[in-house]
Amino acid sequence: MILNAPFVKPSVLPGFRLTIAFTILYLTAIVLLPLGALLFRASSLGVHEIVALALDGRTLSALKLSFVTSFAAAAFNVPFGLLIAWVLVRYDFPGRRFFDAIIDLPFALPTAVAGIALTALYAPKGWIGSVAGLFGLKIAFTPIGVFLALVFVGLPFIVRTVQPVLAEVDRELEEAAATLGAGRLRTIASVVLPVLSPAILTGFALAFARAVGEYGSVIFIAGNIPYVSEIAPLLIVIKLEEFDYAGATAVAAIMLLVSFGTLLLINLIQARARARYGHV
Amino acid sequence: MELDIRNLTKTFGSTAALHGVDLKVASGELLALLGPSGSGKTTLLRCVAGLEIPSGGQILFGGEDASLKSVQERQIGFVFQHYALFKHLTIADNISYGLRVRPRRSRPSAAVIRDKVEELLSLIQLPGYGGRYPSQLSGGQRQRVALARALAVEPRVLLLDEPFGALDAKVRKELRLWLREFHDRTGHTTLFVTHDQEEALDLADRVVVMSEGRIEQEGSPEDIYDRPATPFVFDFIGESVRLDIRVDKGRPFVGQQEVSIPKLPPLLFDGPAKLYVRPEHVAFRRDGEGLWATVVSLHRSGSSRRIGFRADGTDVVIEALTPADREPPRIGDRAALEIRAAGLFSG
Repeated sequence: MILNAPFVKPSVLPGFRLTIAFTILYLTAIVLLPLGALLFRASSLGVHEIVALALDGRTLSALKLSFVTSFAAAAFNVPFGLLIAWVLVRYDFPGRRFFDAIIDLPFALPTAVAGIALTALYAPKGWIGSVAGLFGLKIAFTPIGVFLALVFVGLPFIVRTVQPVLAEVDRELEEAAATLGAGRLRTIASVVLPVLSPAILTGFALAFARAVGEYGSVIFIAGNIPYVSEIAPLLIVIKLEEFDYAGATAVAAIMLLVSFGTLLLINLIQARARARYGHV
Repeated sequence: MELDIRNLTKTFGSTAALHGVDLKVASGELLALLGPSGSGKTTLLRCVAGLEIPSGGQILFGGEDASLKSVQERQIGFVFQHYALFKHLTIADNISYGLRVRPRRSRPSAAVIRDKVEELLSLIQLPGYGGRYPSQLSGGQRQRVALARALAVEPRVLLLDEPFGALDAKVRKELRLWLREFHDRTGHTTLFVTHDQEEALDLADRVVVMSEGRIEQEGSPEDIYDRPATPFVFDFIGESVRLDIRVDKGRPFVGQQEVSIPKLPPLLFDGPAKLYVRPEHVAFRRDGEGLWATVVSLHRSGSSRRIGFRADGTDVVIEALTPADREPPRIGDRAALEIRAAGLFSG
């Protein structure tokens, strides 16, 4: 029988068959089935139609806006999320627990609430928007607004994935580097960051994935001007409202493929790093 | 490079880890800092390295005050108990790390660095290991790499913090002999911290015994073992039994019997005292002069036998060590004990 496979090591806690069966069942029901339905739905369109839809100017610019701003927001969050994680882990200061709790707010807040709050702040008549307006900078209803909303929702992912790993970093490594003459920045770059890099990549991937799918907090501040600040998830909703189910599923399928490809790539990079350094 | 530590103090919050330690280390000396955990030996070592900032006192490297210098400026080599190798770097990159982080004008060329790495790899008897990663090496090999990494920067002083603490007994012993031989060849001024007395007595030119942030005694391994200066050192180093005795008119008494102990300085006090005796310094005979006692226990351990005697008229039990092949007495036998050496402290 295939489930008595030789790759299962004897253990005092057996249960491979039961757990693997449940895992497969669960993943199928929760993840694969809906995605399969989506692809099935999309396949009812011909290849020609999907390609035509993907190459449609409005779809292309929406997809481009979604992926580029998501990538930029996740990348922007890496250094600052890292800095926040560093401060929270390494220093004990009054109010540390408070700040630590605040990190999760963008995660826990209903996205629509975040969207309204951000719009109120960055709209041309908002506190920050009016100041930026003096310098001729328009934030809300432009890609910059989309970017800001995505930075907001992505921050907890970087901080929360890096924090536990940073707490476990062996201080002796930093001390060893210092005794060998390495300065502070050098020590961080050559000793601390390599240890953190798998966690940073994971945080980046999570923030990116969340940003690509983000809807509620973006649509208010984006203004949804076609070709300028219309994100792909919104395009899907618009197509659905126009009863263009095939078009909506086609855009969704394209997003799915790009997201899956990106996450796969990130996982491959991590697997390679793990194979090289080993778990010591 | 000689090292001069003057009146060094260190407090963590309200607890003092070092109470004014004075210590001189001669150039090329291999010195062991020995003590139980919490004795301040590691704190002292870390202060010398610059990894801890002392609360007071001075540290001089070759006559020059280094107290205010940063770790990076001190040019020391530090070896950690758990190796602290950079596991994302190859062995060669680990060893050359200290050379590669130098500012451009003092950094050796790539070829010089490569030669230096090769030289160090053969010095630590791991030639050809440069391309591997730390996770592919055994504990003893990793610690040798850590030593090579520390030596690559040509440190003025080599500091080792429990360097063999994480290794198993056999590797420990091998590496200890190797380090002694290595030191004789390279002659770095070396300070190493250990809680293992055997290691300290075996390896060091000079041993400094510490307790509760103070130096209890410093001297050659023979001095420390044969002539412990304080009750703490007697207790901590080697095996000994402590006897509660009494000094009367300058003569020591166990119960009602006077004991004669050779090589004891004149006793200038009367009253209760503590006598520290090592088992190997106790001999026994079936007749003659001595401290009369009764055999109360027999215990065989390996090649020797340990015999417990209770001195007449007391609860004091004195142990003697004899070869296992010598005919042992029986429980209840009477014997006269001769104490060949002992330490006596008032109180």
